[in-house]
Amino acid sequence: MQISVISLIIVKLSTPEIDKTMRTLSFTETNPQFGAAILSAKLKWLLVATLSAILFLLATQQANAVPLFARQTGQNCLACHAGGQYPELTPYGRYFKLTGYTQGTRQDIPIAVSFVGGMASSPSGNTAQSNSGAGNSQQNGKFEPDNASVYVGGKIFDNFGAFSQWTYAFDSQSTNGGVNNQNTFGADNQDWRYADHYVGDSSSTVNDIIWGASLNNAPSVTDVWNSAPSWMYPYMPSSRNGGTSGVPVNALLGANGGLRAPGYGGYIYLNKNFYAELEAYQSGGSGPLSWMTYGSTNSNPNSTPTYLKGLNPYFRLAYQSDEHGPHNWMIGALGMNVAQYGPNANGLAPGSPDLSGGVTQYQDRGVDAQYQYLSNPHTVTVQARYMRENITDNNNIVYGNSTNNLNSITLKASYVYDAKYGVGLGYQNVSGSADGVYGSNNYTGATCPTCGQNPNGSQIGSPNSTAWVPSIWWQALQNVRLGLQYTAFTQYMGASKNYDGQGTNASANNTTWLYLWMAM
Amino acid sequence: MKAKNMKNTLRKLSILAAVTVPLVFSGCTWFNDKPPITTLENPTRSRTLGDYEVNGKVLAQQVCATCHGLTGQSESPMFPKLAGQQKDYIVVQLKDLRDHSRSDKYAIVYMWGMARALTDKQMDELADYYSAQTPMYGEANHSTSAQAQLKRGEDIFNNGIPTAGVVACSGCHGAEGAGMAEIPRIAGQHSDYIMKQIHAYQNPEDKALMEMGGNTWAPKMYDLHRNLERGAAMNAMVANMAPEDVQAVALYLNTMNR
Repeated sequence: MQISVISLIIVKLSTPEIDKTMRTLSFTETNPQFGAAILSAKLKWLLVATLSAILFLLATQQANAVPLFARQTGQNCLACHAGGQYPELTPYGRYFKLTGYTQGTRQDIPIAVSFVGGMASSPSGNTAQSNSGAGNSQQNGKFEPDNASVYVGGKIFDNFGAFSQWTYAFDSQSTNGGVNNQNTFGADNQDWRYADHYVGDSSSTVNDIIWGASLNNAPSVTDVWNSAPSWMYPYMPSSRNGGTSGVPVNALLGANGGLRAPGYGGYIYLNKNFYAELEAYQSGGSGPLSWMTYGSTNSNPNSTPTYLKGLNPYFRLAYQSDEHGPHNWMIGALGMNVAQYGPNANGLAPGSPDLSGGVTQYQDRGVDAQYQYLSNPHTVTVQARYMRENITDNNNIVYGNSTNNLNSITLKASYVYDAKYGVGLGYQNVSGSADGVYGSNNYTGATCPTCGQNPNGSQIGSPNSTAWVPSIWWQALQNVRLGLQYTAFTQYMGASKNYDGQGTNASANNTTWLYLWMAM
Repeated sequence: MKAKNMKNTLRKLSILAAVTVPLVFSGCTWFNDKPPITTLENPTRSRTLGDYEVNGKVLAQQVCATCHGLTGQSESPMFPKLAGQQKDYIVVQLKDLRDHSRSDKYAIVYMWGMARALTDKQMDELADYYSAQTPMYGEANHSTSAQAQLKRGEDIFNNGIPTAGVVACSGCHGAEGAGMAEIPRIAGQHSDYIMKQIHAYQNPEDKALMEMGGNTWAPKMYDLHRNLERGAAMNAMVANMAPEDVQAVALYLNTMNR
């Protein structure tokens, strides 16, 4: 009762202001140039006002001023994050997520914010070549804000909680384009879940059952192991330099953000050993769940919604070992079948979906594993994943061939001392059948107006790429991280030398990423 | 045209939702600060901290067990075993954690938050639950290189180190290391945990610049120590213990009661 009264007041108060903004927003659609200035002024005002309000509210909560979940439990980040290397989860962190973020005390102000900024630099962006604007070398050699997130949720009711992340990607000052939700807030990771936990007599065969249901916006975003695509290293890439994430081609279930679409399903976790999850994903463009992909629209050149045919199943099975002293490990399998419509426009250009043009079908099957050694002040963690993707594209919506396949291997090992000093090494390898699509710039994101039809794509139409991703970081405080990450490509789009037929070597895409991450 | 209106409406609704949802969440508790409106659909399986309605046994199973184990026989050396721990000891420790008079580093990191909202009644119930479990048991250590260390540990446990002012552990903790009242059971405890505690007793002047819980942007110098009053005897007794002796006794304690 109280809730609805307060929300009514808030709705009433906010409506005129939002109406004004909305009129401005509509105005910009017909007068793009003139409108853009007003729009950007308005958005900036809104942003500043919102942030000020959040900061004010947080400041008045001196006793428990910050990251949402830590405020909720009162524990340091280290409790849930292995060695403080976000987002890697400890056994306790996994439990916290599986029980629906409901442990602890519900917060008066369930908000946290984070910020990433830094400098990404690749040799290809430094050359005088006409391909210097490649997608993996935007923001070359400049310190710039990259993205900022607002998190809401945490414990909402006794059995219901959320991890709801909304991210603002700052405009690239070096080169425009290529960044999802550029200059706007967009829905980032969303995981709203209901969960319950039964504890039985320890002598019974089944003495511990966690079960729940989730509404989320990407396959594996619900996962609690860091070998899952949504949560695997590198953890803090630049949003506008693809090289900081690793290889340019990935299976749908091969990397974070491979597929963003509303999904729902359930899971069960028996005896803290056996985990099974089944989810279904659907189109995100419109309908009551479109807020889960907020920011993606048919007219957004940086982010069009994913249009899927019907419900697309995702499954996840895992066996998590008991803890043996400081050791614990997990082996798992995951997979997904996806039928995706193509856009009306050719290639991956924005536009409304072509619902009568058939679908491209993806069948992803993978196995993964994780090992953790956790004993303060030492943290050692290792993750591995192998993913096989079979692609059927009888209507040649995306691919030139009617069938293709893609195999990916992703590995990472890291050591953290005292949750302060960390070193990590990642390895990524993608190999698959050759296809004409890899000859285009869709995968490398290159913009090359002067170099013809095949800018920066693979000369031989191959997706084969290999990257090594070492990094070091320092966390002076639990909510401030300074990191230096390097991506070394030994193979890029089919070759190590001259992969694009224009003299570009794989190493031209090597990327240095010096970043600052902060949260509060 | 219709599609466009629809889109605008949807966009309006999304913005409205983005603005109102957090405000509503905050609003509904903001004006009802203490005590909170109960949201317990199933108080027998709640993970809520800060609600007096949840029984300590429920908290033990739903919250504490994640690190300390359902029967208090924790696997991870980072978290002490609580199985069969002395009830009075558990109660006073929880109170020390709640009022921050126990402030060794990992107590701050992990336990200040957990203990901050426990009621006396819940603490009592939690202590009942864990003290009633089959007492913690240790792990065998068959490594031959450890035998000399274990022997040294056993010697310290039974006879102390008179030259260093270390009295026999068994004097207070009992011949079986089972403890009594506010003196903890130490037989079978993780050796890593024992070493960290002795370190805290040996260095009551330690300080660290850190943040506590979600209280970010408020780093401060914390004094790292066990409760100074309650720990005064331990502070004095282990003050001159050599690191290798600390390790020896910790290893030995872990092999007791198995």
